[in-house]
Amino acid sequence: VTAVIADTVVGTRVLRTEDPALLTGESRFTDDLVVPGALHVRLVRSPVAHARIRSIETTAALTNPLGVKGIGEAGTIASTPAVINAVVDALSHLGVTDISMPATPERVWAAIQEAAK
Amino acid sequence: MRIAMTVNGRREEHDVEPRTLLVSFLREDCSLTGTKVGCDTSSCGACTVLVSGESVKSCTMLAAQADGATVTTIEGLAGPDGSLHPMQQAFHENHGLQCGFCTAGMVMASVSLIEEHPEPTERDVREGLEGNLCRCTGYHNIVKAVLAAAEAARSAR
Repeated sequence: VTAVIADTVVGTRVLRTEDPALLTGESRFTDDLVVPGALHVRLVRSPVAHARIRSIETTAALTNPLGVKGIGEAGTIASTPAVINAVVDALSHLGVTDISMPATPERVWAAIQEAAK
Repeated sequence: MRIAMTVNGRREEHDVEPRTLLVSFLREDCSLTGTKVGCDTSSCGACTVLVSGESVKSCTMLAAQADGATVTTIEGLAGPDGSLHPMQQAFHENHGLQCGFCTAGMVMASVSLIEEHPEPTERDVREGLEGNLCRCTGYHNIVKAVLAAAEAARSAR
């Protein structure tokens, strides 16, 4: 075993190969690329941690004098809503339409009881 | 307005709007994208460059304020043969970078720091780099790198 390890990098100092480009300013990050006609995006995040969005008012944004090409809505941090949506979907035939995070067994039970009423 | 300065030993003269920031001048007019814009609010230090030898957050300075000055960016540190500046070398050897986004600013601020404090203590380095944020390394290896570079500069003398 010792002989095998001796021939490998295990236990030795290894310098990163990507460093020189990063250290000299040579590497390109997305913001460093010049794409003709590129548009810029401004993200607006929910001001509250947990809420139901009933509607989004976009008139003011669309009529911005600086010129807006479009407004879209995207899912937020994907995993949490995905899990909550899966729970709600599984319970939807019982009439459950929403459940608070975290979806503890007690909350799931309470949601089912509430929906049955 | 017409702005001229010496950037990394080269004369750069461009017509820019008076409101142009130094960082935009460097990145857009001089095509030197090594200097990064991290926060645009002088908090993160990613845009740090040297203006007449002193470290400056280039997102907080107008290009017009640097008119006639001598500016050094990260692209101007390595030798003409491509050999890394001792500070760049120290960051490399001490793993003072991961994603590399803060690195240009960190290195430039560090060069200026050991210029002012040739024999810095760990505390001097941590305080001196307070204006530069890094979300990857936890700073420890950056501090080690700057101390190593200061040591190397001393023994080279």
